Amino acid sequence: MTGFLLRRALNYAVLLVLASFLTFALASLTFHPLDSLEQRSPRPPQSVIDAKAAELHLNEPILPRYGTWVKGVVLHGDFGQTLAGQPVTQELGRRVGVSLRLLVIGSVVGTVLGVLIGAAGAIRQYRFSDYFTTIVSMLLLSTPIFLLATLLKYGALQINLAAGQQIFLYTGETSASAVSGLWNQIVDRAQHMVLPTLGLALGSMAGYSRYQRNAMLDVLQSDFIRTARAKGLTRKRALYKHGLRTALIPMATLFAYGLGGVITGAVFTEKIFGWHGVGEWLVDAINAQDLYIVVTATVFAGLVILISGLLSDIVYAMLDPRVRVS
Amino acid sequence: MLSQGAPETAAAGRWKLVWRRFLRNKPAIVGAIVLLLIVIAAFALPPILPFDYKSMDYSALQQPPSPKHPFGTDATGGDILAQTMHGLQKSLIIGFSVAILGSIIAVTAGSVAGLLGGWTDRAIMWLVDLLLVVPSFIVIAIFSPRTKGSSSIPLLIVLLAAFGWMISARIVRGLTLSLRDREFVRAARYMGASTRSVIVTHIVPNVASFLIIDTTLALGGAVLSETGLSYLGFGVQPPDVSLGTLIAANSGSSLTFPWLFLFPGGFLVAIVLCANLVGDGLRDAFDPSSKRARAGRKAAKPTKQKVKAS
Amino acid sequence: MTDPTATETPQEGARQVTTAPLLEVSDLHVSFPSEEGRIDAVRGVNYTVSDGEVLAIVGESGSGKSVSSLAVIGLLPDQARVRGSIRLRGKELLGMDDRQLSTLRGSRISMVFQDPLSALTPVYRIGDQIAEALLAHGKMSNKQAAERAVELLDLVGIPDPQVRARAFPHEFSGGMRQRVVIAMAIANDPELIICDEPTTALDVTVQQQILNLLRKARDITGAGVIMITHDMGIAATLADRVAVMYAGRIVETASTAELFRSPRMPYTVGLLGSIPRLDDPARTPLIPIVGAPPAMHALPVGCPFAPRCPVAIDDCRAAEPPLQDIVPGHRTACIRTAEVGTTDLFTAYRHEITEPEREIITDDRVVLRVSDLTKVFPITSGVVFRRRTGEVRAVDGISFEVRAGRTLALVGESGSGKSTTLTEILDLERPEVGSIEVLGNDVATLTKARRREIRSKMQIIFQDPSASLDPRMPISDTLAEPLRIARRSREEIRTRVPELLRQVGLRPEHADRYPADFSGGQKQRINIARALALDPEILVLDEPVSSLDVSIQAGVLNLLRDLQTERGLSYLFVSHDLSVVWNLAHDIAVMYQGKIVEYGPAEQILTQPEHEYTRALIDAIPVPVVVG
Repeated sequence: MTGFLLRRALNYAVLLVLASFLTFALASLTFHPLDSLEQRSPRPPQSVIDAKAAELHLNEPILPRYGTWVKGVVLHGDFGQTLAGQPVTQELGRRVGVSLRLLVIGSVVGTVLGVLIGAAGAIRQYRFSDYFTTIVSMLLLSTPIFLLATLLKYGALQINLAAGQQIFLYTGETSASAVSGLWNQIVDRAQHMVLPTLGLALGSMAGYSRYQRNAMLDVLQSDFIRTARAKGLTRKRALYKHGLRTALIPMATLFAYGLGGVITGAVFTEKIFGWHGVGEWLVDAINAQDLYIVVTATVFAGLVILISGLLSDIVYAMLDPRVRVS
Repeated sequence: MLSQGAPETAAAGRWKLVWRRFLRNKPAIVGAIVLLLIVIAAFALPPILPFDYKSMDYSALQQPPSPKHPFGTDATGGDILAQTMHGLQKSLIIGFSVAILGSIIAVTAGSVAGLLGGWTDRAIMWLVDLLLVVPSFIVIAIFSPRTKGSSSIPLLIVLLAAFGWMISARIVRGLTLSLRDREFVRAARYMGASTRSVIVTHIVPNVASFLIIDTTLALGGAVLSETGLSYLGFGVQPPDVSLGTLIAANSGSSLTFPWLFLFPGGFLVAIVLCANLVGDGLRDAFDPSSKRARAGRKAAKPTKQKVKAS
Repeated sequence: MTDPTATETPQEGARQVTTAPLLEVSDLHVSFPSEEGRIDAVRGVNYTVSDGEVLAIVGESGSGKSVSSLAVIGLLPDQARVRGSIRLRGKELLGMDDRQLSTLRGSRISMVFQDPLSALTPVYRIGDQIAEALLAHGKMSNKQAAERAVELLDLVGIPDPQVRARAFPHEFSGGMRQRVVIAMAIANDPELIICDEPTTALDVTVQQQILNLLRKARDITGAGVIMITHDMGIAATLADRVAVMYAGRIVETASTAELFRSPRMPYTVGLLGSIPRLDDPARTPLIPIVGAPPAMHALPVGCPFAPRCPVAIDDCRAAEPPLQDIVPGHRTACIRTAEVGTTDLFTAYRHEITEPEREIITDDRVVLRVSDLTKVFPITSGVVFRRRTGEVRAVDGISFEVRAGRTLALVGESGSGKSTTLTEILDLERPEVGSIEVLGNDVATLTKARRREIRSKMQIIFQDPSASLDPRMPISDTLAEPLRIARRSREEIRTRVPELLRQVGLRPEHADRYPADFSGGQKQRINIARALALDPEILVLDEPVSSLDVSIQAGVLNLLRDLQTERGLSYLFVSHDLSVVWNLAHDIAVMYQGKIVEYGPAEQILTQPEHEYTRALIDAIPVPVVVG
């Protein structure tokens, strides 16, 4: 069991290194970070440009550059420098915290609620509640997250206006002005968190609920459900106790793939709601053609996927006794 | 020799059966019709509209929908209807191309991996894993300076397709693996058929139904990806117009002038929703018993009957 | 002759028997929606079961036997429509909702299903699943339920029950899982046990054990048992009364002794006549029933069996015959019963078949020789570097010969290595150990071209007729495929395909239909036709009739036998069913755990078996004869 996990972790790690190298190489080739400098008028003297180029190691071949960077990461925890000359690590810590808060809550809420809704939908098949959730899920899956987020902001505004006070706050993670007292701080954070988390979670919820519903409908036809009912369990009880547990097994593998989508969604969410996380940083960096931020963000995303992949392997083994090698 | 009698049902071909089952699925039919209408509108309307997507009508700035401008105007007097139609064209072309290209890659990679096995299989699956870890979004975004302007739309299509085929390829591989051990493929091999003839005669037709379903569903995904990229300023970029750029340009004022982004947004959701409905309908039509139970009252569960009625 | 309606049942330890029937099914109708419209799967079924009595419901696919019992326990799918009456000790079950029925299921009525491999939930432990049956109905603590579960495991013959209760289903074999299901079924001392083909998926020696276990379960609980089966042998050895179903109705019912001594319904007679039996002479032609079971959505007017009945008259097609008493306790649904007796019926069936050909004298040429064949599968473990820690000897040094025009049968149960042997032979590659010689050629010396030639001379027929045909190809293409691979001309293909269809008894006009349009028996004939396309000398058959209904099986076996006599084909035949083997084989090789334990002419092996495994196999077969 541990051997299997170790092998998977090793596999992921190799993939991660390759992915970071690919991004590094690609960005090195296509970025022209000196554009903004060169296009200033009047044009700065060549020596200034050259100096900047040397500072950013722009004229070195890619592979050694990458090697230097990796050495820096592994030995010193140094992820390189931004275009402005600041160490990447400085911003990184802060931004990672923001993003993780958003990602973790959004994905957990989305997964758990999605699975429950899907299961309930399968059990209550043909009832109105199932029909309703199916339609809503289809709509949610067809709506891109930036649209959804904007609509949520719109809705929040209307609610705020109608209620006469600011229930939902949708700019940033916390209020600009200082808030006193621990309780008030928590409430403040919660107010800011509801909408972005909801936006992120709704998409996952829709996806998971559909998959879970289908998985359960497949399981509903199984012989072991019939055996459970023949023992004397009511249909509902047999489905919840035996069906849900068994249908959860394929969900575990879905989680690893699903997180990729959540990460992409988080980028949009951060941008729209003004959360200063890695996603926003990344988009700005690509526009500014800032290499090291882009690569670091890639590593962060890859690492999150790697961990979730391992987690889903563990959860799969926990759920399915057939996989556990004695 | 005793004659064994006529076959029982005269099911005149599989495709008719699939068509019949598809027709019974009302949401799918509605989706197909709406999608068709949107496609026609996107290409047939702009020539006959009074305004095109670049025009600016200074007499009507940020006006709500009116007979002159059915979708309203934006801050510079651009006609939202024309812009939406043009954006639709872009998004549809990109969406269809990516979906078809992606499905072709998925089927080729998946079936080759499944059939040949061994190192080929491991190499392809490893590539799949790699592409799943590399954040495709970032890679495509990095290419964005190159995709400025309409001459590089093909590049965008290729990029989107290159990062969208992985999960489908996995499924095709699984299908091929199970087909490979099916008796009729083994029988063909024992008859002395070459690998190539086995693929062409047996594997491709059996995977064809998956191909159709996958392309349809991939359409929705491709449109979402493209608009997402365009929204952030990657992918299709101004002055070129796609639904994503429209929404980006106008979502700032969404709270006060909702028509600016509701129309492009609405069409976007409509396309993706219709594609998903049709895709689901096709999936049910090809294999009604395998994935899920259909609506009870009108249901067809033929395979289940053969098992129970014994 | 004992009166079947008597109140005494001669089993030991039975509960006190009453005259009120335990179960009374009256006028049961069940219908389903389907692609072709509404199907009436059960069309007016009546039967009763008393305490301690075993009723066997016998029928083939489409007869409605499973559906009727699912209706009794209330586990039909939601789309099914049921009407009629089902009374358990006078209490009406139809119309009860799920909750009420759940209190009955598992406590008063329990059921054992067909496929044990999928019957248990994979994620819960065995002991917990049995305890769940107890806790669903009784008021006991979890601890008490767990203890009782271990007792039940011991009762059904699971060794080391305390430890095994903690295991998961995938650690148990099929036979052991079926024992667990039986344990769950008897946990709450039910009054009625329904068994739906409980042994069909099991090896024949395991089947014997399970049937004995079921008998024991009945003795302990005194319950009434409904045994649904297609195997007349099981009905003969286990049941007190038998009901034969066809096309959704009961067409004959009587006490077991009476039914097997003097069956009066033509279908029953046909069924009995088509079964290959060990007490018949070797390789006797069987008496099949012509045609196939009717399509349930398009039943003909009148008696549904009329199209296949050798004694049918015009009146038979006018209206459906009702089920009536001929003698008290013996009912048939046939209007001609008064005139036509049992012997007349058997004779009528025999007239339908042609006279068997004399066995031609074959030459002694060896067409297939296998010497010391061995195939070993490695077991690996280790994380990064996989080490070989053990091996499975699937085939362990076997040798046999197949002679021209004769049939050699490889007999064995699951795990014996017979399928692996076939694969080894068909691959035409040099084996790990030993040698294979096909038509005089050692496979190790074959060139690619020679291998191609030999392939055309040796063809295979698989077990599952549907899986062997590409569902996307019309059968004309399927039959043409081997000819196309051998690069025959188009005209030749055009004439050959209808010829092949005729040879196997199918109509050439149907060549453009798809496999889904044909019945199981017809599909297997198509497979045989395809195998004959290139004029092979050897046919390899992997359980060719196991998936077919008994009455259809007979026709296919006759076809194989006739083809062999006409064309001098040699057969290598794999089967687990000794009666089928007896019907077709000249020589038998019995395989057990990869080795051949007995080898010789069929007559010798089956009349004077030497190895104890062979003897166990022969003993385990339930014979469709009632003794005493």
